[in-house]
Amino acid sequence: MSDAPSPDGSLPLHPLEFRILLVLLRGAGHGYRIVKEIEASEAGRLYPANLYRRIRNLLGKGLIEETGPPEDEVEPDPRRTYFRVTGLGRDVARAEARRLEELVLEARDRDLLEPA
Amino acid sequence: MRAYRLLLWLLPRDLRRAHGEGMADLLARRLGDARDPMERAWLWVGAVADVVAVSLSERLGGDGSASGRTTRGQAGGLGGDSPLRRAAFTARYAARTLRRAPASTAAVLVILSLGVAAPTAVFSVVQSVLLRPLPHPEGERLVVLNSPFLDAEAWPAWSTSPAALGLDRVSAFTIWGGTARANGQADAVRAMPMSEGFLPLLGWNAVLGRNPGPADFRPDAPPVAVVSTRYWNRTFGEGGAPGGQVVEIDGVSFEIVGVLPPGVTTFAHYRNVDVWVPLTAAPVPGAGILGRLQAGLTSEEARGRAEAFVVATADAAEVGRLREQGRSLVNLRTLRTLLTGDLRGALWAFLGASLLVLVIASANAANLLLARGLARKRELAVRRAIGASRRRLVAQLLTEAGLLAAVSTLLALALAPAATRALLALAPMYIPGAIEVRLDPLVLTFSVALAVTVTLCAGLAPALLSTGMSRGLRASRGGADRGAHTLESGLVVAELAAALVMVAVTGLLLRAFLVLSPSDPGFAVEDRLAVEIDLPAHLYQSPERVATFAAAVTERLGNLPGVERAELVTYVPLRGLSDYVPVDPGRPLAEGEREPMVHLRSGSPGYTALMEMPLVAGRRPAGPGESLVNESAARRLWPAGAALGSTFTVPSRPPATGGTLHRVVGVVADARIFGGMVESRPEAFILFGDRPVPRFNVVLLTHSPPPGLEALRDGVEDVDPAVPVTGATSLADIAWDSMVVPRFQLTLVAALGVVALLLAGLGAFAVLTHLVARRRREMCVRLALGAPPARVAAGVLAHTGRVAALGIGAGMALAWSLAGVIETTLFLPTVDARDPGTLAGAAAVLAVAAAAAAAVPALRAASLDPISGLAEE
Repeated sequence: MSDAPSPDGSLPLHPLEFRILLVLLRGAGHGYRIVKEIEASEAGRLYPANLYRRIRNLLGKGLIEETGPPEDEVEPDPRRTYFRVTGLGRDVARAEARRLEELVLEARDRDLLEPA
Repeated sequence: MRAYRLLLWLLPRDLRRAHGEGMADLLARRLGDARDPMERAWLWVGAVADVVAVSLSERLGGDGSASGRTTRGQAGGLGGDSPLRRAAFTARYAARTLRRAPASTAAVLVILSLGVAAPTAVFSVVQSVLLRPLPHPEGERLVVLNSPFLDAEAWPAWSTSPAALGLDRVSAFTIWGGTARANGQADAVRAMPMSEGFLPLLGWNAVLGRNPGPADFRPDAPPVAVVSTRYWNRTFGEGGAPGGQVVEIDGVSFEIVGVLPPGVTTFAHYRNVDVWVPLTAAPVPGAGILGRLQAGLTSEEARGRAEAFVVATADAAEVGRLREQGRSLVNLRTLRTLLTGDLRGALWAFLGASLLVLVIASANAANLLLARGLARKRELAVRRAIGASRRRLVAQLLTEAGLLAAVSTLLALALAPAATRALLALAPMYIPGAIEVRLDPLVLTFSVALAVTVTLCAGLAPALLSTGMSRGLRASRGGADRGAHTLESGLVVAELAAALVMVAVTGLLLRAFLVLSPSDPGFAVEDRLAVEIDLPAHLYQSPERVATFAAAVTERLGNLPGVERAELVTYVPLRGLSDYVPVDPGRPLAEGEREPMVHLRSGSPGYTALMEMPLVAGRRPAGPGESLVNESAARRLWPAGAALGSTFTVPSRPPATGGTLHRVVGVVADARIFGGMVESRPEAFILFGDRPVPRFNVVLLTHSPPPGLEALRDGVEDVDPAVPVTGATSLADIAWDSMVVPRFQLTLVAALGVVALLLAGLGAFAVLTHLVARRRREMCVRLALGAPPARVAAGVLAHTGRVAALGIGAGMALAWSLAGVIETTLFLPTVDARDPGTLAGAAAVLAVAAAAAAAVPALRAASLDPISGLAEE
């Protein structure tokens, strides 16, 4: 499906892991920023242990990596750990998006949704 | 945050190690973002549930990766089959359920966290004062021994026979208040002359320089001293090291060889000691022994041996005389007792009181949980109907209670440091070492144990009851809840009983306090300032010099701005100090009568007038040889009457040189010179000029603003620059300080009593409100059939009356049976712990509280609208 090294092996992604990738695709960030952005787009709270468990999984699968504060950070904080998406992570996110898109199309076929 | 970090230990190690800091940091930032305490509390609830849920699901090896499993919903709900997964689900479900009823959840959280915080704070003080080891090697075996027969001359005999005293190591010390000069500064200091073994026994070692060595304790050795860090920094500045500096105390020069660690200024009850010198270099009279008990010996046994030693070695006549006066031959107390003093029992009592508050809080929480359980019985019934086991439902309810307890414990631990600090600010006792308010493992264990107990007590019964009665949907309407309601009322009875005990104890302490602080102690303290003066002994050896200086300094201070008058006295009231001396009343003593003892003060002629001590006969002294006695002394010295015009003789020291003769020209009313708790004692007041001593106070009658310490120092310096001012204290402050123990007890117990009363009232209110809601249908039917509303309300009040009567009765019985414990642990002079008035008063307070709690529910019952009420049903 893709020319990247087997992103399909990581599919399907846990929804929260997918969301984290989506946030980090906009640029490197630390835990606090990830939480803020996810909570801004979705109701409900995201608590630390749950978040970091997902971050650990993503790190383990090589989808994200630790990095320093980005250069355009307004208040860079060297004590915090920043994360950014790896090349593999970008491919996996893309593959997951396609998978979801196919699911959505299938839902449309079953008249679950208005036609696009 | 520390609490959260501890909680993170639940997580698997790899996750905690890699990201624990990130989690704590994230939570801290989010807590910082929170707009109000409520939001913070919710964040805590969520964070605790989050850690519990993640740790459970991590440990069951499930959701770690997305390996092949289909995506689960955020709630992690459906596919639960393994027990741990189910537990994770239960935890999250519990957290969500609690959020759905924020008011009652918040109420339980507040009640439980206050309930746990109070004993935690008290326990951390108990722990530091009574349980934490003293900061000395074998500290629990250290004792201080005093005896009228122990002085510098007798010391060698005592020191060579420690085993005869029941001790295995002994060292001598004494206290020496003098004027220190060093580096061009003069200070009044307290020095402690000591024998060789003293510092090693306490485990004190110089942090700069060295301790005095064996050679320094030889009689012919050049005098050396070690000083406190405080004194060193004050005199020589920080950063230096001992090397030839000299401190001169009352004319004796000591080379400073060492500086003791910071904070070391107190030994037993001797505070603010700044200089330690070998006993040989500063022979001052009077010595105490610091010793270590022989292994396995109690302090009582050691005291017995020491008494036997005195009897065997001391002058038999003198021993007999002391025994007849009822004075002890040996005073031996452990260092621990000296440090904690009278408060040992009181602290345990406070812990008991705060646990009583926790019991009330738990009963309240249990009631709220029970009410929730009843309100949810339909939901529980549905879950049972579709196959949930009762065990699972009980686990669900217990998890909710546990979550509440966990969050309350975290809140309580967050509150506890502030509560502990408040407690210490009130506490009158010296606390060994600087008390550190921290999450001591013992305190933490204590709080967690409390929380677990509370969870089981407050959660289990409601859980069993509310699941047991909902066997099927049928049972979810009407009756069948009898057990739950009995439990509800029973809990309120227990709360009222516990609250009654608290209120009764508060009442007892209040009575004691009132007894101790008489509205008129017999002298005035407002606007009076006492300036302590301690003349350097080597400069003021002749009585004439002392008298001249005293007169000059009194006049000089009297002329300071802000001072109306100044008078002189050896001892100010309420400090517990006086010369207690035998006097010769100038009449033949009756058969077997010993020379009467009086508390002697001397001062300038106008002192008693300045203190507004009322005369009951005669006039105030004016010239040499004239004196005053109080009514007690008049009766004691001259039982036949006619004190006016009589004379008495005060022996001089040493006794061989005769004494001074004083003629009584007036009698003053008895006054509570030693504070409210001490009966008036025989006192005599003579003129300072007849018997000058080098330590005295100048008492100033001041306007506002009173002169500052600098002005007073300058005033004294004008007369003689070599004389330091030891301190200046307002008599009102001394009066305040003299009440510090009773006030501490009263404040603490009253605060706990108020909390107890509030909680019990709230509990009663909740139960009655619930009662009205539950019997709404029945009440509406009765109203519809024509029952007057007052009668319906009376039914609620009658129920209240029954519960309150039971609670008050049980409380009275409890208070009565605890009276012995209360009397032995709390400081309650002249008050009987079974005082019927106090118990009746407490019962009345509880009755009023119960009535207040019943008022709103009763009114609500009376104002029910039968039509709409029945229509809703």
